[in-house]
Amino acid sequence: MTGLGLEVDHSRALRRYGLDEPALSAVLDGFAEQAALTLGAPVGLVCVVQGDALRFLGRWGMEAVSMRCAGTPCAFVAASGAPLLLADTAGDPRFAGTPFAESFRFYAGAPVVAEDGIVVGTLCVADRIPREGGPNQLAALRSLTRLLMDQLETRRELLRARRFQQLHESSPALVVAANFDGYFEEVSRYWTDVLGYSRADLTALPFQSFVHPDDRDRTAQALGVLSTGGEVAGFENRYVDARGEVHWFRWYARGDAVEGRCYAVAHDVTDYRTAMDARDEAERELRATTRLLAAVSQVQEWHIGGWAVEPVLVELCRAAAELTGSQGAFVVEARWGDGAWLASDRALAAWGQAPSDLRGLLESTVGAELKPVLGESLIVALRRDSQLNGFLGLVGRRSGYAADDLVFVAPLIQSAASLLVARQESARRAASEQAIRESELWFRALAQFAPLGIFRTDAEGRVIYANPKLVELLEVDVSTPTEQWPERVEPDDRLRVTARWAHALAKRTDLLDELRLRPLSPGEEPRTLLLRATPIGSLDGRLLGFVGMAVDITDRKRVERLQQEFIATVSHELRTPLTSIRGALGLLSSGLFGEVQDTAREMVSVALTNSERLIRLVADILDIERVQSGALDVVLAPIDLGDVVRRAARDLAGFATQLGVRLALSLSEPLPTRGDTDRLVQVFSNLLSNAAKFSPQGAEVQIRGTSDGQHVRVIVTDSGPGVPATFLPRLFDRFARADNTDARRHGGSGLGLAISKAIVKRHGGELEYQPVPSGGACFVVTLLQRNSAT
Amino acid sequence: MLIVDDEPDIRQIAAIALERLGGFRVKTAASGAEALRLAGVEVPDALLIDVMMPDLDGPTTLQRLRALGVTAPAVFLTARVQRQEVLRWQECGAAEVVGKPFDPLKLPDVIRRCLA
Repeated sequence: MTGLGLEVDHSRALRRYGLDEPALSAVLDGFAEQAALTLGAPVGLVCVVQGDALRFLGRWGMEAVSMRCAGTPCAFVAASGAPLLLADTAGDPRFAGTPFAESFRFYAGAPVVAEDGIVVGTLCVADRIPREGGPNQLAALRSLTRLLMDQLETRRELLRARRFQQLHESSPALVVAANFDGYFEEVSRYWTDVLGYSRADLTALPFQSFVHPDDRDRTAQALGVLSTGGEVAGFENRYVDARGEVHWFRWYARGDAVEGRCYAVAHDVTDYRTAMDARDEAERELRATTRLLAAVSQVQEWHIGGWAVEPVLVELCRAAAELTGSQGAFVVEARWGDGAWLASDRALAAWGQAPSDLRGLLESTVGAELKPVLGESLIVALRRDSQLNGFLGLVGRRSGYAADDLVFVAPLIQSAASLLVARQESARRAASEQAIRESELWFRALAQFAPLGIFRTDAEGRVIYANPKLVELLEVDVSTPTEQWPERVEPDDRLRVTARWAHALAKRTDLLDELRLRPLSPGEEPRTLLLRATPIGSLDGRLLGFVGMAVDITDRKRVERLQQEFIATVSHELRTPLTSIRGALGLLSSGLFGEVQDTAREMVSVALTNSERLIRLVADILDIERVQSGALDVVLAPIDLGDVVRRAARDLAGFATQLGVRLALSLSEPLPTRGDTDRLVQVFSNLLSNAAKFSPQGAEVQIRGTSDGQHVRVIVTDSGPGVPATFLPRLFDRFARADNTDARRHGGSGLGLAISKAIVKRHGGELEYQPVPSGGACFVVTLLQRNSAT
Repeated sequence: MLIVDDEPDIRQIAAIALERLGGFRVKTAASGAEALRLAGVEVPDALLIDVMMPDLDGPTTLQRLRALGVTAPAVFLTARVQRQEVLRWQECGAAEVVGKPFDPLKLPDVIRRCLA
């Protein structure tokens, strides 16, 4: 810059102190004047070097505002940082000949130096003529520069303060100074924006008045930290604004124990807190919902697996408490007593209630209408099908409970109710299972001691239970597998029984069969069992298996057989002498041995009639024995029932004529059927002889044949006394007679109708009695009609 | 003709009926064995045989008679006249079956039917 090799630029200082601000030029001009007057010179200047130019920021007695810097003593002073006095510039080789020297012969200047040693500029005086000067003049100038510097520094401080003020006022931060007496001293404008109180309001009252009551204790603690000169960072508390709304502030504060105050800045983090709370809430809800879902799914699994319901209820309570922000939740069963408490999750502690007090409390609060209780706690009756199962309670939320919460906890109420129902059902089920087990014991005991064989099979027909009696009856070893039991049956019967059993199993029908057991030692009589089994279905129609029983009927069979043999033997033994009697009487009555007297002939006739009656009786007894033993011999062939009736009528014609009764046949229709002619003749002989016997003399027995395409019928009607109503139930019984005197008069064995009915039944037909309103008896024989093709 | 029956009364009644009413010349045997012996002496034209007899029963007696060359028609006398039984007697060679007890007056007609 200059020949002196000194480079100076005061731009930085210029900015630091705002030297070229218009407000300062008067001050600087004043210093220039003061310097000129003090030294008695006509020109005073405050200069700064800026680039190549020397600028005169303060002037006295000088018009120019700047000049070229090079070669000026000002630049020299500024560069050297030392004062300079030139009595005559022309006499100084450093400046002689410079433009400055040509204008000013006298020069005195001193640097304006800041505390940190930075040269801000120079203060100098000049004169066009040379002057004497001494150290006093320079001292005075230096004193003035220090004054100037002070002034600049003060001004600079002011500027800074103003900037801070500006910053303070426009900042969206809550800046505050507060003393440890508990009052705000200074608050930034933002406080008034946020809280809606004026500065005066904010400083007039202890600041705790604006703090949320719940946060005052913590705030006092934080202030305690600050009062010992400590720092607080990240502390959060709530302020309540003029509208009553709550703001969350987060603080950074430093205390000054000496000053007795603290400086602090806070930020309104209400939105952040709200967002965080919302996030926490959402997270909690998510967690609770997840738990709830788990709980609900456990409820379902419980239904399936029969798990204990209590842990699920506890989990549900936990979820309910968490979901609603409650300290506790409880579910209580409406069955009071020791077992009433099902689940509680810190609910009692939060509520401060003892379980024993609960009943009265719930009854009085919830009341008879079972309306939900809201307020400090939320209590809802749990109902299912209008029946009270229990209560769900939520307790310990500071904000209390409102109707909105009911909607929120509705799914919980549902779940809790179904859980309670499930629990009660499980209790009931346990009770009924107990009853079933006991009943099972009873029935098992009965089966164990029953004097007949009892067994049970599964749906596949495998024996899964057999009582001791059955094992005894079958004479098998207990260890014999049930699959081998059929081997105990006589081979002749085994195939049939096995087939019937398979059929019953497939068709789910009853099985009734008799089977003989293989004798275990040779020569022993085979024992006969009556086997009876019936399918047992479950409630949904599934086949569970069969229950069955077996009775030893060996003795009964033996008795039956003996009875049959007895009857057969007796009838044979009866018939041999009867044959002789009948034959002898026949010969006697034929007149073969010469005429007998009338009285004797009458007696022979009586004997003959009664021997024939005896013969018929024996024949009937044999027939009825055959009916009973199933040996009644019936051979079906295509026949016309009309022919049968005509034959029977022909056989009985003489008999009827003797009685003076006419047999009136009306058999114009063909009556095709399948039957055993001899047996059916036997039936109609019986019916016609009965009808003839019971008809009054001169009466007519109507015999009418009909067919309807499906059945053929023969109706035998007489005009006798008919069958007394009291006798009807026994009409077809063996040895049944309406009146014992009939036996003599009508000569029946009392077996005819029983045999006839059995014969017709063997044909698949029916023999029925029909009363005739006008008196008389009517018997109807109905058989299946034979198609023309068969 | 030959009557075979172990019951003397029935033997007698049948014999009287056949001799007196039917005009047959009758010999009687009390057992199958006797019948075989008599048939060896004189071959009968007709046979009336009781089915149920001790030792040789009716069908066996007839079988033995046939073996001796007796071809006369046989009438069985029996209490067993169930259809199946009658069929059996016919299979055994009975031309007619008369059920016990019987009407002796009808017996000559039965024998005559067989010889016709």
